[in-house]
Amino acid sequence: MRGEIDNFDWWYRSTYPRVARTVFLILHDRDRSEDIAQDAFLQLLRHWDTVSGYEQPDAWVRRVAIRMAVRHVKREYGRVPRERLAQPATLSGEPHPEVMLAIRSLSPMQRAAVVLYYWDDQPVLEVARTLVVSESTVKQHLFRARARLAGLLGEEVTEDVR
Amino acid sequence: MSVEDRLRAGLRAQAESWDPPVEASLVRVRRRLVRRRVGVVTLAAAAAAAVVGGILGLLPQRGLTGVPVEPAVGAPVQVAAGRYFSTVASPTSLGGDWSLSLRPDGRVDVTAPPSYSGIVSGVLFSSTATEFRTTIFQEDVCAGAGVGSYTYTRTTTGITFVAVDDTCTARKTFLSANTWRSTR
Repeated sequence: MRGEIDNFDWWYRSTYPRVARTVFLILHDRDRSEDIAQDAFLQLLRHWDTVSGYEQPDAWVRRVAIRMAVRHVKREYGRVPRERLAQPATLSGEPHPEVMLAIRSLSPMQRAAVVLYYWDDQPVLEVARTLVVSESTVKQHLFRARARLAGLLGEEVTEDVR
Repeated sequence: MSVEDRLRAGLRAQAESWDPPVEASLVRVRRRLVRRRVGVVTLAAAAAAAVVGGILGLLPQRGLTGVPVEPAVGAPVQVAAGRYFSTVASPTSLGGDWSLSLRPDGRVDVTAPPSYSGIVSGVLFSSTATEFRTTIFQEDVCAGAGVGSYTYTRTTTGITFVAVDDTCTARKTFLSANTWRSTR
């Protein structure tokens, strides 16, 4: 069926918002998220003849975008001390700022794993494929992220990953 | 509240707080592709010109202009466009009165029952004479499932859908197992 998708514009409109939002939740920067999502879709457009034949072309562009986002966060994470990343000024007016600030304090891979698992609702296996790590590594990232977030937010950890 | 619930609520609210500018970004992506291809063509032409010029002692006087790039074929005909209504019984999580207005531009105006709290904005569809594709529920119960593909039949009273390829069970049931009546 995917091979029959011959209208890139239509497909773009249907896929771009979710990809851009996922990147945004990892980056916490709308402008940069747009740039990265567009970079990913530009790659998709260049390989459209091939990728449109894949079973899940949306998964392809999502992975490209998320990997670009994680690389970007890693660069920023290496440059800027964590304390500065958690500055509340840029999150004023955002919904649930305390949650976003807490997520921002996580390492890049923990942050991506949390977004993919808790917002994108991806199973651990798919998170692992997207982040190019093992399933056990993803579980470890989620375990440590939950423990840190629980401490920062004053909540309890009640679930385990599936 | 558990930390997991706080996370889900926070991430969801943050995601919903931003509506990415789809049309503007699509235009930018296309422009960037054109620029990239023009750059590649220009470089190739310059290299070829240098070789030819070196051989013939001449350089071409004509510059390259924009190369039209149309990677997508024309927009599909929205044959299924119209307004439809259903009292959805299954899946029970989506139960209630729904209306779908399939607009000729490929967008769907969704009216959900008050009991439904998911995201129904930005829904798209595409239809040819035989195939119907939609993204409905992709931001909610069908997250990660991508586009659903169906065959459909229009009757004098409404429309029926038969799933061809859809990994989202809730959407499949929603469209295929309920009666969709035309409202005009």
